[in-house]
Amino acid sequence: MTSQNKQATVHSEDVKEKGKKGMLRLPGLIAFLIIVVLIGGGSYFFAGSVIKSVIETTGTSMNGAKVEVDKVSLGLFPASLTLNNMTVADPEKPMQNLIEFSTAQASIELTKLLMGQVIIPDLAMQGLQFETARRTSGAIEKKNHDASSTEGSNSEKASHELKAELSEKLPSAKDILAREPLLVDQRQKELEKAYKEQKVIWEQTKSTLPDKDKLKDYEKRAKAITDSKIKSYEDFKVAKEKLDQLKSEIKADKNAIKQAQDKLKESKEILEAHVINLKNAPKEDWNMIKDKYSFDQQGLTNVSSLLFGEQIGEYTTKALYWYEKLKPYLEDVSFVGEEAAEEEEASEELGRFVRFPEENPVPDFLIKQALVSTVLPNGNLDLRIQDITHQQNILGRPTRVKANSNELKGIDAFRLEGVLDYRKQVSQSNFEFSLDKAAIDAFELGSSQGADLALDSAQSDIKGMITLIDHAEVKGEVNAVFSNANFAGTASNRFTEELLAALTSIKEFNIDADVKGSVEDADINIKSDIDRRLKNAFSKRIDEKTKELKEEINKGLNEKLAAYLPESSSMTFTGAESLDDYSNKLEDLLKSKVDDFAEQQKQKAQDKLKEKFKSLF
Amino acid sequence: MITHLVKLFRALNSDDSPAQISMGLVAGLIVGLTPFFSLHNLFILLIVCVFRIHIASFFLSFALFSAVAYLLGFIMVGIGESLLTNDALTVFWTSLYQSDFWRLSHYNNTLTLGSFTLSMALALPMFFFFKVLVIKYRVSLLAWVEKTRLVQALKASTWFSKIFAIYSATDR
Repeated sequence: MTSQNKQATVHSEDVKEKGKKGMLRLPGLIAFLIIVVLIGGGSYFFAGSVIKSVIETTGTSMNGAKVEVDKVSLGLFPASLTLNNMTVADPEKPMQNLIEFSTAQASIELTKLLMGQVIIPDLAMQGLQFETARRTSGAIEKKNHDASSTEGSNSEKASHELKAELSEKLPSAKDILAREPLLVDQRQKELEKAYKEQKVIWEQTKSTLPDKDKLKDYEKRAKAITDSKIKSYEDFKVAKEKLDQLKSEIKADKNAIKQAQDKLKESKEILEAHVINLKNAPKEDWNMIKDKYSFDQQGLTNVSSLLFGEQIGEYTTKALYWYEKLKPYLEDVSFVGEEAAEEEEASEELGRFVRFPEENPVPDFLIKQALVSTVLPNGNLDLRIQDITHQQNILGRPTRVKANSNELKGIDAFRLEGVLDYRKQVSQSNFEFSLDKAAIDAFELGSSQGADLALDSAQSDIKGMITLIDHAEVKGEVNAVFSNANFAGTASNRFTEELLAALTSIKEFNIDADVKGSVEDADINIKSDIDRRLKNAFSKRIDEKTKELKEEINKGLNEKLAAYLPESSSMTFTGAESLDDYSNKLEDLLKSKVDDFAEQQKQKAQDKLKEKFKSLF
Repeated sequence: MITHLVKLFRALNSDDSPAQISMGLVAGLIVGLTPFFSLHNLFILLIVCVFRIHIASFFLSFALFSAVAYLLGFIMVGIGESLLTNDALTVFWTSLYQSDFWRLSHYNNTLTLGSFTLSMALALPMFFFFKVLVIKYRVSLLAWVEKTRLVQALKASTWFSKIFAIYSATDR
């Protein structure tokens, strides 16, 4: 036997000896209990911190902004979990919380928890508030505010477009006269142009006409001829030739003056035609303005969309904002049947719990009843939510939301009922709500940024329903009946001034809004009898305004005309007044000097011949 | 970890039963491979405490096989998945599912069932394997290990002697 074998034999014998001590180690039972208590107590002691850390870390990661809890505590008898002062920061506005609540206490079924199921019979949440201010920033990284600034600029742009569109409907007379290309101005320019053209023609014509010097020259030549002594036939012949020459020249000038007079007459007729056109321009201008600017109710057929569309759009945007926040969680609440369960991916770290048929199936997570006390600007509102689970198909019931209140400030009664049904392949969520005699206070119209008009006060009964189908399609309708309406505004432009005057007469109206289409790009259709009422109210205002505008515009046009007409009256042709005088003088010269002289010389010649014939016989 | 290694070394070199050491190692294997917070682990812990099983071996094995479990996670989940979704066993699982006790054991979790099945399948072979290994060690390697310079140096060091003394006093 080797030394090693001997050693092994010795060990074997020792073991046998030890075995005699017995298999049990009774003090170990105490050790076991101590270990269990330590593990259990440690878990209980540290669970609050661990859960707090998990909520804050996971929540911040999912939310994109800080999620903070002041304190998480556990209760044992009965098992419960309490969260104190939880805040969820808004990733878009880091100095604001999306939600916060003071306490949330959930009782938990411990047995089910040990089985891997979280069953909460009651959840009580107190002091739930929305969009509250934060003392410190909730941002976890620098945010790009391009989207919000773009949104702002779009809103501003829309506001400007709205104002531009509305102001186009009813501008002032001054604006119109300054803005529009008026015929009265155009025709004045045409008159001036025509005058200049005719003046050039006249100046050219005038240069060919005899002047005073030429008349004197004619008189001088005529006198020279008439004063000359005719002694012989030759003398007579010379004088006659001169006289014929003079006569011819005078006749030519006379013809020139005649042609000039004709041209002048033609020019005056042209100018007179322009002046008549100018005088008619104001009337034609008014007709043009009246046709171009719709001083009727046609442009007011959808004013309600312009007035209320922006606010309703903002409400829709806000609803979609909250929907986008909830969407990731809602999408997890999907159809979960046996087939779906089989397709669930198993985690390598945790595996997955496989469900089998049971008599009373219970989901893996279920809040049987939650009572949420919300703090709203109008007061406290209690929401009662039943059967919150992501496995409605197992539970066999949809999630129901209900809220009723008769204590909200400014609202006689508020009712909300919602059913979120994810039991079928195509999920459907329905919400119905109503507000009785809701006091409307300073509801801005038309623009979100310093609106010109506001529904200062009114009472409204609002009913509505929204259906969300498979997280993709939305359809809904809201009907609001307003009474005791008082509109107010700053009347910063012409339209708001007129619109305010018209709205002031409206005390009752309704608004029907339809939402339909995809969740991302739903069509909102707004109808209201306010359009008809505005038509009626505007009808009278428009008639008055049209008359007023007509007077103002015509006054402006006539002032222009009055300024232009003196100019046209001064459009004369220099020297034109002398034409008749020259013509008469030439005629006189021809008759008194030339023709008389010729006749005299002819008579003298005849007398002389008679005397010669008498002396011959 | 060092203390557990020392104690195991001490146990190997002492007159502790190879079966006790092997049982400690197997118990550690089961707890290490399966999810820690499981009902069966509570039972195993009770056994380890109450029965004369080498505790240091249990803790050392538990640490070692926890690391192995991390590597074999997908295999164990696969085993559990194939067992729980096996049509032939559906009736059996369904009957167990009606019991709160079995639900508390998380048997219907793929990882729990898969790892438990694997550890149970390994328990008996590994028990004998560890036992043979301990005996072989004592027969073939103990003398050689005792003579190695490392062990000689360790035994000569003051702190090793102190630890040795402490565990000698508390081990039994």
